[in-house]
Amino acid sequence: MSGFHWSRNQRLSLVGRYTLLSVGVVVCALVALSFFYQRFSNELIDRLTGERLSAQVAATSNKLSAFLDARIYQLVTLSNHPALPAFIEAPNSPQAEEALTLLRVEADSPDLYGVLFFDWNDNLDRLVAGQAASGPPYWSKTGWDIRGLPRVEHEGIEFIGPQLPENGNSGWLLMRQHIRDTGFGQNTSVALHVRLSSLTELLVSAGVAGVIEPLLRTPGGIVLDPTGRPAEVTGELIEGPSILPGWNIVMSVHPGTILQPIDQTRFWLYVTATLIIVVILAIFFALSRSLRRRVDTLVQGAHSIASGDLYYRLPEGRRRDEISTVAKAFNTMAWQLKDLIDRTVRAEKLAVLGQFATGVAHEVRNPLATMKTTVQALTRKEQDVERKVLLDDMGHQIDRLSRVVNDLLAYGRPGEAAPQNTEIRDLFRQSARVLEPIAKDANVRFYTSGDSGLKLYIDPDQVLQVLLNLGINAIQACKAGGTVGLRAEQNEAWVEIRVTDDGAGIPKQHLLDVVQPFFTMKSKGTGLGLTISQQLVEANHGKIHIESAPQEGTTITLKFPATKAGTAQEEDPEDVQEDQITDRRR
Amino acid sequence: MEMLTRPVSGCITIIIAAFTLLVANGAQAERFELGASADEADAVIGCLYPMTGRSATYGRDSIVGIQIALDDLVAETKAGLTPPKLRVIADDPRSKASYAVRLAQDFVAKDNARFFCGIVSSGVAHAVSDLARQEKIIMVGTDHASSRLSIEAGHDYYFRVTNDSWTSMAAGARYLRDLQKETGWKRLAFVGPDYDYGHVSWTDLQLALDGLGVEYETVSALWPKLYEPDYSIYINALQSAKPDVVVTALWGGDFIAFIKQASTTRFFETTRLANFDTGANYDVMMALGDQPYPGLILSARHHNNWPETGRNKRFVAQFHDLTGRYPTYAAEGAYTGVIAIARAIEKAGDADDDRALIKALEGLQLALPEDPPGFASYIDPDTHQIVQAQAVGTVVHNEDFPPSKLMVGNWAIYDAEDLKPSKEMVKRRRDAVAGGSEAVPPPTP
Repeated sequence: MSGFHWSRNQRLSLVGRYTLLSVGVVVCALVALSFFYQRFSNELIDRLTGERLSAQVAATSNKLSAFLDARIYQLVTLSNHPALPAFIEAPNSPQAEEALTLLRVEADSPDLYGVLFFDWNDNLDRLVAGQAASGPPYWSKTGWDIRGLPRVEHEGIEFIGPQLPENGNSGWLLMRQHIRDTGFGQNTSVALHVRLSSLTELLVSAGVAGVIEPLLRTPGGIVLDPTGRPAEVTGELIEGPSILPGWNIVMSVHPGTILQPIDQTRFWLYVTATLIIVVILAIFFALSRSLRRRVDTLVQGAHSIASGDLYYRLPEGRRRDEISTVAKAFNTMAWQLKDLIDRTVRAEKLAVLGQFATGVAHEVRNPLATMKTTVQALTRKEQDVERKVLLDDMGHQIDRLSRVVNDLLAYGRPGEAAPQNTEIRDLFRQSARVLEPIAKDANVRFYTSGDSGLKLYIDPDQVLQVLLNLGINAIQACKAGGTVGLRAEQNEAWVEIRVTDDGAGIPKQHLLDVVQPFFTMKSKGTGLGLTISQQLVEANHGKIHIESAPQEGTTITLKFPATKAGTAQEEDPEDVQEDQITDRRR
Repeated sequence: MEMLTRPVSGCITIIIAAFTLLVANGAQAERFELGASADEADAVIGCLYPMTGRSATYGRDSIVGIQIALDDLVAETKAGLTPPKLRVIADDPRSKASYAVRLAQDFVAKDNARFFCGIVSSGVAHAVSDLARQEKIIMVGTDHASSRLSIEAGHDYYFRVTNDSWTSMAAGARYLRDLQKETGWKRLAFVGPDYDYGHVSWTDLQLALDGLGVEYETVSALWPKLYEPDYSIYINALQSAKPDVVVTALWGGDFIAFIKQASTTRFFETTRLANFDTGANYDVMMALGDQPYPGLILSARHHNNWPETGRNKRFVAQFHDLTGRYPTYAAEGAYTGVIAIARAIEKAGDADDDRALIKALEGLQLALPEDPPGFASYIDPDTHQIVQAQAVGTVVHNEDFPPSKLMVGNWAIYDAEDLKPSKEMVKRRRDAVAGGSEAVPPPTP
């Protein structure tokens, strides 16, 4: 089909353009997002490793130094205490008791395990255990040896260690100083047995969880984590400030810890965006196929109409989308087009037939009149009964021809309607006066019903003729015992008159034909009654509608404008159109 | 403080007054004097319990436990028996060895104390135990748990009447052995307070696991200090080590603080946390609120809901009647200490004969609230450590002891004899330190 090819051959259909536009928007958004994401991650790293970190490291360094300063002060106080030499040399003296009390209190610090005393050869001479004491040398001297530990000097204090945590024991370092020489010649030193974790725990404030881990490098080169255990250094180490000779803070930077989730997030962002694009393309592809299929249907419909198939209708479907609206509009257009063409054809047909009928009628009516007069004269003088019967039959046939001629004239020269306010009761009364005897003869019940006070704006003579035509048709359609009725009802701005019978009905295939001129289902009909009736109804701005079912009956509904006192009748657009057709016909 | 002649009502008055003071000024340590007057008393017991800080609950409950023991002795007197009249003095060493030694010296010098009791911290208990040996004062320890005190550092004058770290870890090792059969756990981490008790608990657990032939991998051993304010670096380190099971010896407020901090992380989603010595304490149950964190394995030296014997129910009810709340395990420990001393004096027949008292204490049998049916605790003559059964379980909903909404249940019960250290192990440990710490020139001149 050409329409189908038309849509398929579009190089860039509307749907395709929308698809490209949507993909373009998504890609642009993705590019912009990636740009800002990269910028954000770079700034994040800069901030984490930049100025703020330096400030934190400096503050942490101060904390560690302050901790050591406090211990130094504690150690210097002990080493210079006047009673301490007596503690070494004269254990049972009151001064020794005084010193022991002091040592016990100092040793109970939560950051110390105890206070240790060493001789000149680094041998442990004696100790005072604190509350936190455990392991060597408090439980056992086994494994206790400070000779292999790193040593540094700072402010006259000897820092020994660190001893790393192992075998279920904690790590520690010693801060040692010779006790003040009071002339006894002793060469004993006193040391604080410092809990290593108390120093390293202070590192934690400088870190950024998972990204920057503050560590403490010790003189042995071992790097400690905040719990005081040797750290496994995997990332880059940034040197920090020194807190003691050989002891300095280092920052282990693991940008991957934070970059990895960022990179992963970015990866998944791309994956998601790609999926979104794929989904968009898939949706648009499906939409495109569906749209093309439906547009092809529209095009096919247009071509069918153009080819003259005025009965072609598009499937409207249940959707309420644009295509469905177009399809409905298309179908409405097709209906209106067919109606217009029908009307035009009928009007032209009527015009031709009317002209023809008028000509024929004129040519036939005068001879018929002469023939009628002659037959009547012959009949009066004829004595022979058989011939008289034949002459009467001839007269009846001439009458019938005259009626046909009159119908033809009525059809060919429809009179102008002279509308006026007319009461329905008058119409019904006059109709009944004619129809009741006919019905009675046919043994058919006739009645009128409805609102008899209704008024119509019509030509009463023409509408009466219509009612009589339809009423006679209805009575003739009924069998004996049948019923024919006229009923009037108000329906908004219209008055509806229904002519109902329960007669033979009209077959469905003839419903459209019965208003055609010269179509009749009666043996003696001219086939112009309904056609003339339709003409008259339309001349009075009315509408005629026929419903019928075989063996059930027929209802013909006439709609006329109701009277509105003092107001002009509003014109239905369809009426205007009909007027135009009528005008053309005229 | 003036002593009252009517011990029961007088002591209650003292307790109420002391509690009032504690509430009014929580940081102020207070001396308690309970029981008979100095003139009437057959023996004076000097007890040291924390009354301030994170472990103040232990001290408060211990005082009530002592009071219940004294009430029971008075009731026996009224019933026609002749238990000794005891005078108990309690003070707060503030978890410091220096404080404790000084207070203990004053108990002897000023109060004529014949016994020391109590002491929650093993580090402090070591110092007081040394003093007890020097001063020849019998020390009946309660609630400090380092097994070193009764094995390596044990001596004639030292006794302990609550489960030690060995007993708890022996029960815990059995629980872990059984758990391994169910879950196949392999990676073990330990976190304990950085003092004697923590390190000894870890040693005891390893020895017990090795003795049972449990195969495991130690992935971390961490030592936060006692009363550590922030466990975050230790929790991070534990999570990094990816253990299947973490055993902890943190106790009291430290354990509660650790749980609260760990619960803000994904710790409990991946790791079981076991505390076999102190974790099932009632204050922990209250602190858990209505959150039975998955993977908690707990036990303690006394449970309010196990064993369900009349003796245990009566003890818990007595405590509740006196205070309006339910006891921590410290109460039953202190109760046991006083009852043990009373029974030893009865058995020795003389409160001043050290040798007779020591002999009476060695092997002394005590029917205690924590004893399951058919068993009575007794003091091992060799280690001077009480031998008791232990129950380990998991946290379950139980509102029988309000305001706590949780208690330990799903019990696994371990017999006392199974948890007792073997003679070989005791000898091995004692031999290992020969020439060691005790051979170091004495810490006090």
